[in-house]
Amino acid sequence: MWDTIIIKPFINLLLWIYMMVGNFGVAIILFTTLTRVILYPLTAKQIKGAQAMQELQKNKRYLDIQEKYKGDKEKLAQEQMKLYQELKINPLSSCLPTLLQFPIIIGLYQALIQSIASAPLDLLKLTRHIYPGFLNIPELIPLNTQFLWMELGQPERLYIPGISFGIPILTIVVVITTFISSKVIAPPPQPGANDQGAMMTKMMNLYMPILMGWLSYTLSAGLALYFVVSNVIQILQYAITGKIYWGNIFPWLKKTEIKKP
Amino acid sequence: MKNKILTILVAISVLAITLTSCTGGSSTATSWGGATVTDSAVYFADGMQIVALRLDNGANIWSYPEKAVATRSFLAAPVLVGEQLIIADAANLLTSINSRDGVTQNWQFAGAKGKYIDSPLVVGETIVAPNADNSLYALDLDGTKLWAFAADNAFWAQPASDGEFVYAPNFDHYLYAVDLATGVQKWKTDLKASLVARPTLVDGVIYIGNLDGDFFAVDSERGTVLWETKVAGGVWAASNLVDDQLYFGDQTGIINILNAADGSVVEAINVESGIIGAGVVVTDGIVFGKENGDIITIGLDGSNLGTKTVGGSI
Repeated sequence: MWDTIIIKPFINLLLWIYMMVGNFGVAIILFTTLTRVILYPLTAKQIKGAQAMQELQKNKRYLDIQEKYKGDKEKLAQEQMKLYQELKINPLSSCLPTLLQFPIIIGLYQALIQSIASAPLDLLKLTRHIYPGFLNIPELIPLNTQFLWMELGQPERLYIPGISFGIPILTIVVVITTFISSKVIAPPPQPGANDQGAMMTKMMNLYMPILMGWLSYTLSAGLALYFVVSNVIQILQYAITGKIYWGNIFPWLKKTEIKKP
Repeated sequence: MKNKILTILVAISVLAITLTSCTGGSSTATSWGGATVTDSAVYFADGMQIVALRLDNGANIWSYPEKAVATRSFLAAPVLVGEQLIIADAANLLTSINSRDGVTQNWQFAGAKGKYIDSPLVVGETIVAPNADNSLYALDLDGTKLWAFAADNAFWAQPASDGEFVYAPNFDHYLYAVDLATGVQKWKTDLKASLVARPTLVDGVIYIGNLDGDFFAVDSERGTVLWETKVAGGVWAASNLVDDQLYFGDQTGIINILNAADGSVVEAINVESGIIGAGVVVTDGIVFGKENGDIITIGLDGSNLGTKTVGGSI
């Protein structure tokens, strides 16, 4: 089921793009961009929902409810729900689109890994996932997985003459772009907002780049390329909606952002 | 607060494990077919380790490395030369260890940049190791590199040799003939699709199938195609030549029997599950492992001599 609905179509689309452009690195970039663009309505909904929840936390009635029922969790939940209904806010509207995107992103990731096929069983799976008549195995395999200095099926390292070890350039780029994307999409903490949320955001901002960096360092360069493209597109998508907070990285920009209506 | 932070850390760890396990990377490697059997022991790749078992009772003699490490995995069966056990791994290393203790390392060749997918071939005093970095490496039995032959794409399958030349299938659709002594190319022949199966060399004729289901007989002297036949699916393993007939399975689940003289189809037996390993010739027929975990014995006349089920895909 998962294979039929997600993995197979993704693999065939990715490889079809590859056949069109003749370069697997470019195919990964185009494929990631295309899926992110298709998913944009969901992303936009998520951004909008998150913004509504952010605004709600500044609402006087919301703050009053928090204060009044802080000792009674059940009542607090009831009153919050009433307020959501009155203000027509769906508390799930920020996380539901993310949940819907998640299987697609996992599918994208699996399609990418299977397409690179650097071991026999991966290749066997790949040949079985290709739609007969849509793509031609002799024309398709072997895939040209060389992109710039990278072998996309192997962990990426740049070897510079005179240096005895390879530099993981793409890993560094993944860490930087993950850090930037997670920083700039998180609204600055509001005065009076609870420390717990801010602390959790801080933790995520720290651990996500480390996690993505580790995956990029140890797994194939094709995957790291996908992470970079995804991060850049995410930043662009938030920038398009105007919900980007450069001041989280560049403090001198903060004043300008606060003045925005 | 502490609980929420813990939740985030657990979620991130789960995500990391999920993503890593999806990759088919080194930590989840599944070994490719094959084993090396002697009078007293059997040596095989078990994903993260090479294992030696006693032949008489299946007891473990040793495992190499003693404890599995995430950075090393083994896809190919090791090769025994005297007391040397030559191990090719997916961490780009070719290692010779003492087959008796499984610990003492004789030498290690770290000159390749890609995985070793299949076992090396040993011809006399020369080890020929196909590598996914597009090269075929030749070493002597002390692990000293003699030559490297580079092609346009990966060498996965173990080559065949007549003692003078090495016949190596490549992903780039070509079958290469390379001088065993010098590593110089003699000829190369386009066989239409990627080659991952081992070639079978008998009396100057190389028999090999490709991933698109074309099966060829190639003259080893000149590299000319003597005949070709289309079968139902991709061919992943070597064929067995018995009594002028070729026996091999394909990935669609057909056991093909061809006439070795002209490639005509004698019989195509549907066993309903893919066959990606080579058959083993026994007294009264040929035994094939199926992907669904069955072992089927086919008589030389194509009759089904029986099926046994084992756990796991073969």
